[in-house]
Amino acid sequence: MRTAFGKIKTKLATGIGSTVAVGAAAVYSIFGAGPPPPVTQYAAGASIEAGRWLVTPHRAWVSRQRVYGVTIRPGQQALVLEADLGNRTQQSTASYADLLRPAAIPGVTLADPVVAQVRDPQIGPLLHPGMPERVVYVWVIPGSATPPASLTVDVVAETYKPVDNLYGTPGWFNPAVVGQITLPLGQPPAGAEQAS
Amino acid sequence: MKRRLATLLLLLAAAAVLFAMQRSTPRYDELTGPLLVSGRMGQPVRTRLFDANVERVEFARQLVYERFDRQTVRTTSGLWAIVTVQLSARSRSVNVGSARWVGPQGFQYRLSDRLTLAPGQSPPTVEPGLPRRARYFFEIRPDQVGGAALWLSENLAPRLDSEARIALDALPRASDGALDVMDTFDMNAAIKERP
Repeated sequence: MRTAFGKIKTKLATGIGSTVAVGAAAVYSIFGAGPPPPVTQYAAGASIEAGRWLVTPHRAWVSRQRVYGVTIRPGQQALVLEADLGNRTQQSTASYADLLRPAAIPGVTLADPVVAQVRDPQIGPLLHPGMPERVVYVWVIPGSATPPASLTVDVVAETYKPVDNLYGTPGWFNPAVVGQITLPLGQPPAGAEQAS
Repeated sequence: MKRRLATLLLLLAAAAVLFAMQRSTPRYDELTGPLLVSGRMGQPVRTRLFDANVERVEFARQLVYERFDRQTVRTTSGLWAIVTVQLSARSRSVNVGSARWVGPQGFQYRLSDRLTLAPGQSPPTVEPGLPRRARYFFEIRPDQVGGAALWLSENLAPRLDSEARIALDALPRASDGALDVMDTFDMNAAIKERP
């Protein structure tokens, strides 16, 4: 009796690691199978902290004309999103191309956006720490595509790491969606478009 | 019992030493980082590749220049800071292309990229024996003016190479001590001035 009990104890003791591992895996798969947690929804005027940027979306529209210095060719149209971008980091940077990612539009492959500053229009400017600027994101799509009634855009934020795993240098890593902006596609503000 | 206690203490001490060593190990980017050469305005700062002497700093609310015979105005939400530097190369041609305005809290403002095709905005390349004057334009926040420094180097992130860090301590002041800020800085008039 005593030996049998001892055997069970030994078996339990040796198997405890794998028991915990199996249990943990089961718990993770149960929670992972559920629907993803809902993303925070934002509307125009909301101020969104997204990693190294502070984004305040204002309005969106569809353009078939040159918009803030970005050329739209004949047979093309563009989804334009106007926002304030503030640099929250220590250094001037222009790494905002991956910050906003529009939801898929049927039949359209979205290219990278062209970002233009509204002040003295300029494409792809450096934005300096603590100096927010009004910019437009321009996604060029074929003219034949039907733009949706409203533009839905994911806000992708990166996380600061003081020491990265490869070089031991600080940097911004692990892009993740932190929010979703929905803006109705309305009218451009005065002076935004020029005949191209 | 005493022996056990001694072993435990030794173990703890070793752990503490190892922790301290782990925390204080210099990182790769610190080991291979820039070699600093500090200086002040009005005196030559000698780095490996070039000598730099900051002559003056000016501030303006907007810049004006002519491009394709058209007047171009560059406004800003902050201030334009214009740093005039006398540069001379030491042994070979060098492009002192990386300049940063670093504010008192450590915010780093890189050269403005909004002055395309402006006069005098060719890369600040210096040849040995031919000193020249270069002007650097920054867009900064008004609260980054006092206690700032200019960082100059050949590349943006110098590795095992010298970087000049020049304290910007002689700022233009009006007679009442307030910062002297021009309304407009004319870049065309500025390049006519020769060293």
